[in-house]
Amino acid sequence: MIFQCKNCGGNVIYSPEKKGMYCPFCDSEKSEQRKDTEGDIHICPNCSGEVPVEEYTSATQCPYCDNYIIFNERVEGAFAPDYMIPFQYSKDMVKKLMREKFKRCTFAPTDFLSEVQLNTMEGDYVPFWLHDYDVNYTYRGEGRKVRVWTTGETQYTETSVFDIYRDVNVSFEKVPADASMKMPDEIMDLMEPYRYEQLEPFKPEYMSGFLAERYNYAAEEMQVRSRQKMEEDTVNLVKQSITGYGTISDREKSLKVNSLKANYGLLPVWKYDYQYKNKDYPFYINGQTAKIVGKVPVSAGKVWAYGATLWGVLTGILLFAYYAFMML
Amino acid sequence: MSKEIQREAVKQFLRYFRIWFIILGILFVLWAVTGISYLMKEPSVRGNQSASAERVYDHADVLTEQEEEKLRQLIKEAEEKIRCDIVLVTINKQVGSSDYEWEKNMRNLADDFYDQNNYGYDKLHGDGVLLLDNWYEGQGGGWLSTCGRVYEQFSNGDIDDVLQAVYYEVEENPYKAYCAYIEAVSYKMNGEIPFPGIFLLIPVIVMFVFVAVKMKSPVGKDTVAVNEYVAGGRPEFRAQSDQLVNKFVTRRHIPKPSSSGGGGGRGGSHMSSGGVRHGGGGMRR
Repeated sequence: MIFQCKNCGGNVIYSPEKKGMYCPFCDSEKSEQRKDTEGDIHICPNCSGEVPVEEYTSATQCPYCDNYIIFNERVEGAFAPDYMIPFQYSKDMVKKLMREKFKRCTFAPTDFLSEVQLNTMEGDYVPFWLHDYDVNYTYRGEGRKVRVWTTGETQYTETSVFDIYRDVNVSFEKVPADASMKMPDEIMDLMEPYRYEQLEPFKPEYMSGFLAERYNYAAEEMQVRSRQKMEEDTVNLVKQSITGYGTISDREKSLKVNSLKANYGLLPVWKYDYQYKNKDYPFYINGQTAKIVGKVPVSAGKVWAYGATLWGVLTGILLFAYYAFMML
Repeated sequence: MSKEIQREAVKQFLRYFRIWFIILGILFVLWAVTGISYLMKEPSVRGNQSASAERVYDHADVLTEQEEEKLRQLIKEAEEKIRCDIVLVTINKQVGSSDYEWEKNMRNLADDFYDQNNYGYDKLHGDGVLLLDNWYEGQGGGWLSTCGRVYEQFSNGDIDDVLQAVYYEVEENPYKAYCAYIEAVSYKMNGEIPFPGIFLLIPVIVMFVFVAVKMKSPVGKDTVAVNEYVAGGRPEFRAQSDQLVNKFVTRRHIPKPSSSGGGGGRGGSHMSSGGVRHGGGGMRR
């Protein structure tokens, strides 16, 4: 499907600034008209150009007419997301934030924050499995408290041994694990947390103007990752309730999952693929919270130039000041 | 890299160091102006007329009359050049055999001699230096008392250098040793501004710190709270107990530590009994 403008026929997209549909061609708001298409998904329904579509792509942009196309069969039926968080940050907002965050990175390549480069950023709706867990966790351990005091010339050491027991029920809601091969797991973990208050039922309108994938993995396959997060959190929560001991040694731990539910959601991520000297420096920006993850490349030439200049200028200033002062 | 990016890089670079370049330029002008006026400065006239005219006191009698006269001549020439009083005093006097006493007494004798004779080139108790050389058997050695500009300019190393120059052959040929004293002092005070080696080191350190700090780029951190996905934010505790099961006490005998004393130190600058700030140092034979 594509969303066309009733007024001018242009491609209507979702605007995070306006929090609604917007036609960038004639400035109309809420003028969208959904146009469903059938047949070969490799043919652009607007211009009939050939569109490269990968196995999991559910929304893309036509390379010829720049229209955003959403593939019905990949967002419906078994692939219909339960929830999604629409993009809260537009490309312009993210560009501004990127410039602010990295303006102190003097050694970054000159075009790292240039308009041309930043415009290559693309917004992706990443498929996530959001698992709900009801678990029971029991823990038994031995804790020791040591008290030392001195009377006269004798030092006393008193050791108290405690039996620690905890039995907790925890219900987890929507522990996320991304179901996209393209997106590196450790980066997607750093994209967290998403604020679920803004979770909404799926609406294809939100996808217009962005790229998207359907889930690459089934819910069961991704359960391992969310379960690991859930278990870590459970253990840490119980650990937080055990305080005041000098040393603790674990005796028994047992975790039981009582119920489990998988939800399918699309979460927004801006991706900036920057290349420098044939090396990739990918940046990922949470499309809801604007948390930025990525490593800034360093230009060796700049390090030398700035370092040497600072050294030279500083030496000059000190020597001129010193000799001027001494000769006064 | 395209021309445009290169131009932008140069622009950024100039903008980044703008203030530094301006400061450097201002200091360069300041340096040039002071340098010219420094070179054109006329030799100043003696400011202190109350000082004793005598510069060489050979109380230990280790010099001949001719030698003393030659030393006076040398001192007169050197004083005009460096604009500091140069005084030489030899004694043959018991000042104490312990290092502490020797140093204290030599220092006081030297400082007081300088003060009482109203030395100082620019003003009373101003710029000058005095070498007190003791020839007493077993308590021999020199003490150098510095004052005014000499005090400000002489480091401990400079004082040692002068004393070393004297010490070198004072026993064999006192006259030559005292010539060396005059030479060493006039060489060190010759208006030559010592080169500040530390000023080469500081920028290197600053540069390394700058590069190290700038190399660090902000990275995304794990900001997920443990209870991020927990309904209600906290788990439900069905049972929670911390039960004391055992308690035991061990004893250990610790002997009281015996106290130990610390060492002392000596300072560089000091006030003489006359209230004049002197620097100095000594070298025993």
